[in-house]
Amino acid sequence: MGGRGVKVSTSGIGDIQAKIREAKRAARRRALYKFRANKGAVAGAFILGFMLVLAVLGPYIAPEDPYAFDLRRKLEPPSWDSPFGRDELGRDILSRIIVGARYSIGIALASVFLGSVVGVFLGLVSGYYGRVVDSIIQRITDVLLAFPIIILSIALIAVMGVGVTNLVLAIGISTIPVYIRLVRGLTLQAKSREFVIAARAMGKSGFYIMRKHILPHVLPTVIVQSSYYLGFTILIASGLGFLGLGVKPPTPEWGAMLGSGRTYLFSYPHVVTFPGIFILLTALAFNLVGDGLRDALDPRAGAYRR
Amino acid sequence: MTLAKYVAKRLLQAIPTLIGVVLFMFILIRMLPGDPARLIAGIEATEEDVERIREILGLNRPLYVQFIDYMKDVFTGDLGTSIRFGTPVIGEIMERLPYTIQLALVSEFLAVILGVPLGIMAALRPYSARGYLATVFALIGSSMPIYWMGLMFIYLFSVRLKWLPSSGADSPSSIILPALTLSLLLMGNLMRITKASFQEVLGENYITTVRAKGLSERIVIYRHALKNASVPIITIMGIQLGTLLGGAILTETVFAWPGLGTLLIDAISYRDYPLIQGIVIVFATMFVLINLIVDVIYAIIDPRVREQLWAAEE
Amino acid sequence: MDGETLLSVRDLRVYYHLPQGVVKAVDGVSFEVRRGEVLGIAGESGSGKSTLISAIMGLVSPPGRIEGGQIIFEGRDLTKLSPEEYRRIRGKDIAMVFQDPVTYLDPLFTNGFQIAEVYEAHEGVKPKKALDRAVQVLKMVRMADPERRAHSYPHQLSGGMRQRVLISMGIAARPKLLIADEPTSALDVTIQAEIIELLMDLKRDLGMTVLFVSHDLNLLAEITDRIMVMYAGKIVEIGPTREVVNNPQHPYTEALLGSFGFERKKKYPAIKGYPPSLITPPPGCRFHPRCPKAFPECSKREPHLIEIKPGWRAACLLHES
Repeated sequence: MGGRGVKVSTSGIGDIQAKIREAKRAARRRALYKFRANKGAVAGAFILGFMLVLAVLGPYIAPEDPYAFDLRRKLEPPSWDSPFGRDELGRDILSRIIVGARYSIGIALASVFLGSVVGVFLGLVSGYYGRVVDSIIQRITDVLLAFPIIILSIALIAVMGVGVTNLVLAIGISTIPVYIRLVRGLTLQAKSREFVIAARAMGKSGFYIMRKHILPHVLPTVIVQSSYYLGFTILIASGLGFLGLGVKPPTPEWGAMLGSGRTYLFSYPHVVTFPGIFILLTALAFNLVGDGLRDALDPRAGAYRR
Repeated sequence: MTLAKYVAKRLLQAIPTLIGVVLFMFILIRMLPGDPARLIAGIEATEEDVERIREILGLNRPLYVQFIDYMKDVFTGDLGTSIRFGTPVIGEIMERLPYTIQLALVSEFLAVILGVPLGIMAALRPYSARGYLATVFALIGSSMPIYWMGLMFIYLFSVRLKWLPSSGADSPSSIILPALTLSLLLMGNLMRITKASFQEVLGENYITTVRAKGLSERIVIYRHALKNASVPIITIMGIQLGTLLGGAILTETVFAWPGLGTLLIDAISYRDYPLIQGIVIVFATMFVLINLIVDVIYAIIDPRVREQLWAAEE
Repeated sequence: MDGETLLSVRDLRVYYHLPQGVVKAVDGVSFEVRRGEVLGIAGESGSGKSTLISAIMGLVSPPGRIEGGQIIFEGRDLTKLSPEEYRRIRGKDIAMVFQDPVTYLDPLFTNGFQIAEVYEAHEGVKPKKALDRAVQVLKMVRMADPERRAHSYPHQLSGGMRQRVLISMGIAARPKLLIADEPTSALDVTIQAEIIELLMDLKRDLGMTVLFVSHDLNLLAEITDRIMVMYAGKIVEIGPTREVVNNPQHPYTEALLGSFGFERKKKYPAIKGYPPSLITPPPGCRFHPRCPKAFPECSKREPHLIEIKPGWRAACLLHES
């Protein structure tokens, strides 16, 4: 039996709780320090902050109405008046990119949120309860993992139809099985650790243990994985948009802008150049932040990279 | 236990997953709201058309009978009839499949012959500009929207320089741009992993033994280090297969490459559900099979894995 | 033939250039190895003995560098050789048996193949063609069932058998000088004895000269002709085994002998304190902070190797005053 921390005197419970809080604070400070020391991660965080500002304030800071078209000015190349040029309907590309940020980034955030919440829950349940529940969840996961993520998303969209909600659902569902596998493995690991065995011996309920003991063990890995997935999801969502399987037409989602603009590539490359740069930058930022988080939160991976 | 037996066993194990895949697609298509036959036929279709579709899909029978029949059909190679073309789905797929396989293989090949040596170079000189380049390249590679990069390639190499065709598969040089685009998606990660695993392996004691025997650096690197480092490299290639197949759909669309990906996108715009179902099943089957091949390659490379696997299978 | 010098190391210095500073792992070491003898090199980990043998093997790699001195083998200064010339000597004229049978064998190649690679390196035959010669070598190291072992992989063998495979690689080309780096430290006591006996028999049968490196001075006392004791990158005592063991002239040698006694199980000598940092070694005698016989002078002046008797030298200020 692991008897770590048994020699706790009863007099100092308050002290110990204060010490635990202090230790947690110190760990957080250490993680923050490590993250800050990583130049790439800081740069990524800056780009992300910028993109988030665009996503939140989009319509208020866009110089023009992203939907207002003016066919007389269609496909105008970049100029002082419209720095990124105009698209096939004469709409200002800069304004569309600014307003589009909330779609492209919003879809990524929402689908990763959906995938991680459902996936973490099912992974915890599957790993903690084992037996029949586990077998059923794992067989379904096996089947879903047999589809590459993009192809599963495409299949789901093909049935559900296009639109922001369906896009979020399709990508979210496609990422669930990966989270289930990840969290189930970590849960099995945590289950054999002293703190869980002790809690079970004390008669705590399964959900209490999962929430209080296993979830904190699982969370750092899930956060790191999610930041990578955000980068990946931006690419998938815009890819689906590019294929015409994303949002409905006038919506200025970046991938959809690429998809509708690609016919004009030969004579008016500016139509596709700028939305692509924004997709690249956002995905890059998520990956940089992911690297920084991995080093800061996961001591094992950090040691390995030294 | 021999290798052949192991492969046979793994194939048998893949069957339940594949049945699950077919079941999943079957349910998914049945989840279309409203009368599937009417939906598939379109609003302008006559009542006879709808009836014909109902007949084709066997929608007038109980659900489980429909599924068992469909299952039987799938395992005998009959994936149904395309609504748009009126021809067997399997025929349409077989016509396009070679193009997708060709694109995937050439891209993987390009990624390996460029990514692995670059990764090795970076590992041998970790503090040089090259070592740094590998890290940056890997990062950008995994953040790049390849469909956009494909468009940029077309603009540069087809529109501006007029070196290469921008679309289709009419001349042998047609494959260069799509394959290059798709390979760059894989190359970054491949480089990063090659660099990391080489650095780790070159620090191992058995490498010192090889040097101490008086073997040349060429043999140290290309025989011992490469074989040992190839295990994590192959793992990454396995993990990337999903990316490869998904990326193939996007790349094919950008370059109008006549593979399964463009067929799938067309099928979706024509609501050709039997065809969609068939293509997705074929993609999933390919994914499962290639993963299986990766496992077999492990067993061939590493005697320890081989023994473990075979012991577990006994 | 005996008595003639086979290897002569002169004022050798090997430094590692780390971000924290320069580690002087081998710092001005000179000694000779006579043809046919067994010379023991003793010292704790960090004494520089491992760096010294990598230097003789020509396997020092960045951040390590040979800063100065000569390694003269059969009249040729090895430090002046091109990489290709060195490669031709390595494994053929000077070969090595490593300490840890688990990590020094490549897990992905058969034992026979790895032995046969020696012939590939020095005779240009493909390893697959030289497998029967590998089996012959396995017979020489008294491996049971050598044909089968040649075709099996390292992980399928016990520690003792793997050590025999490592020895096979060392002797495959019948080297003139065999360097054995703690070849038994990872093994059980009974197997240790077998391996030592095997090495000594091979030495006699093949007429090899042996450099035997160990932290275990009592083991070296049993099998060597002469002993060299290293501390913090320098030689502190060198002389005929019998004399050094019976009447150690340096407090460190004494401590090493005492720390083992009959407790073979202990892996590291129980001398109080730790080997010093080689980036900023202590002033004067490097052993003085841990030396039971230290006097004030020891922290000021660096001792030199003083001849006690012909062929027996020690570096301690006790002999200089």
